[in-house]
Amino acid sequence: MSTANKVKEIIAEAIEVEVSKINEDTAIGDFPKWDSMGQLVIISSLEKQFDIKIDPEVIMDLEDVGDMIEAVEERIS
Amino acid sequence: MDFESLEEKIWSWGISTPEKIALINKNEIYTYKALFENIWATKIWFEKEFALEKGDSVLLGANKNVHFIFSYFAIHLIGAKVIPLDEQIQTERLDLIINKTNPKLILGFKHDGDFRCCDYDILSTIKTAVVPNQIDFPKFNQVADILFTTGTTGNPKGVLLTHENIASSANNINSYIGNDSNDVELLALPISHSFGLGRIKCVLTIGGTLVLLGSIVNMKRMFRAFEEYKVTGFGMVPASWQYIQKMSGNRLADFSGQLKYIELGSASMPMEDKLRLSQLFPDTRICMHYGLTEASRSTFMEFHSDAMFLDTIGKASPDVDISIRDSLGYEMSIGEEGEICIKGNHVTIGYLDAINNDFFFEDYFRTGDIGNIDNQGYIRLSGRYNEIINVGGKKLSPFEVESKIHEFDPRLESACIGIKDPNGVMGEVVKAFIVRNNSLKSFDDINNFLNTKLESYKVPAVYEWIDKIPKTNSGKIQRQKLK
Repeated sequence: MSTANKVKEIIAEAIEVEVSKINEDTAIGDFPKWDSMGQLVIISSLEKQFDIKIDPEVIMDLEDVGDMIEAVEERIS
Repeated sequence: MDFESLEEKIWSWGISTPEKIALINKNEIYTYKALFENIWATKIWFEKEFALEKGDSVLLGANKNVHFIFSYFAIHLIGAKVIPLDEQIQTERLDLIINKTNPKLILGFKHDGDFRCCDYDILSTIKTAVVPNQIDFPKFNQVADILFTTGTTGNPKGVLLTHENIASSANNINSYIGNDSNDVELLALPISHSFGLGRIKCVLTIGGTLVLLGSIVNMKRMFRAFEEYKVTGFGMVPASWQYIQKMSGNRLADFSGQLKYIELGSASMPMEDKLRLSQLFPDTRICMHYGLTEASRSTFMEFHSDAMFLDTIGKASPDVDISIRDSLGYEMSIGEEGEICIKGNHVTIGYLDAINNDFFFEDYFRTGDIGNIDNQGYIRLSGRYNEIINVGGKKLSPFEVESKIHEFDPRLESACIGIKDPNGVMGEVVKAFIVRNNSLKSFDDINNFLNTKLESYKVPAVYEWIDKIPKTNSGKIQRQKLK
């Protein structure tokens, strides 16, 4: 599975929506469960599943799914 | 008695400072004049379209939009009661509250074709109405709001708040924090609870400017709002501070020069976070409250002026009296431990469908919390009679989780408690103790089941086998013995 799809799956699972509803423009707050708790769950799942660490300065810039895919790709490559 | 309702205060600002900005929500800006005109137009529309009248109840989905705010005050002007509810409420809980309150109108919810339901969108079509010179404002003893809390048995309890209660509470808070009409507050708190809803009332009755923000989840957007609107204050729960730190480090401190106040509350905060905040915001009034829906913000503590008392919950708020009582209602001496009891005009008149005897000692509301008071008036909280678990500011009763575990397999016996979040983020998380039973091999099945039955924050983060649940002779679970 591509990194992008894996990221989308992780996000979908964290905010309890179908993965088909997640695209690169989907942003924080678009779904009710993507609240601060949802965001924390997403960030910690991404860090765990890809075995990476994302710094607060970078986390703040992660406003949508596309940003998250990019951040993960940069760290695993 | 010289009583002025919240609505009358907003109306007065509309007359004295009509062009002052009251409310900002994304691209929508409302002056005090426009705010009151919209409240009035909404009132007229509710009366005409839904025949709302004095004494009726309205369920209001706590969606942070301007129509929620217009509707909230409009319903009060009619003399009806507002029941604000989280939009994410479980259907089961919503059904229960609808049955208990029999609302005439349900705004912001879809509920199985119920003809009383109406969406906020429709309110955008309301035409403006002329505000008359004479207005019959709400009376002090009329019930204004019914706020539902997580009852210890898992059953929601409806807290009745009169117009005097909510107006007194806003006055007490504004006077302690030192709010005035120059304040610009960013509201990112949920408004279905007493804290966030209270902030709306405080800012609009003092003539300040309220900037609505969905939540703090998008930190960048929050910081943009701080800059753009020159925000001077905001409210947060302790879990929000941990989130802000995790997501943006100390970036918030860049605004320390412009932030005049921060209100904190709803849960206890680790000492290291209190010290960190004091250090990052040396000139900001950081006011932490202790209160309940039944007695909003009953004590306050300010991190700088009460620096030596950060381990306390502060002193009684202005116009509030606190008394520590024993189980029979006798007042304890200084330093002695007992139940924290609160008296003041902000204290609820009681619960929906409940007799007040169990909840009051004379005029003093029994909080169910244990503490003591020192000779300077500082109060230390040492425990709780009740067992509510607080996950990142969202509250739940252990009974609710235990009953779902029972639903999964009636042979299972369990007890749930709140434990410190091992990841240090949510404050508390739920831990479930389950009595070892051959019918259950692992916790996976139960966890999957609970995930489908409960909101995610209510699902236990930790499970542990136990041989026997500690209980009193009368069969009550002794949760304090579980760790």
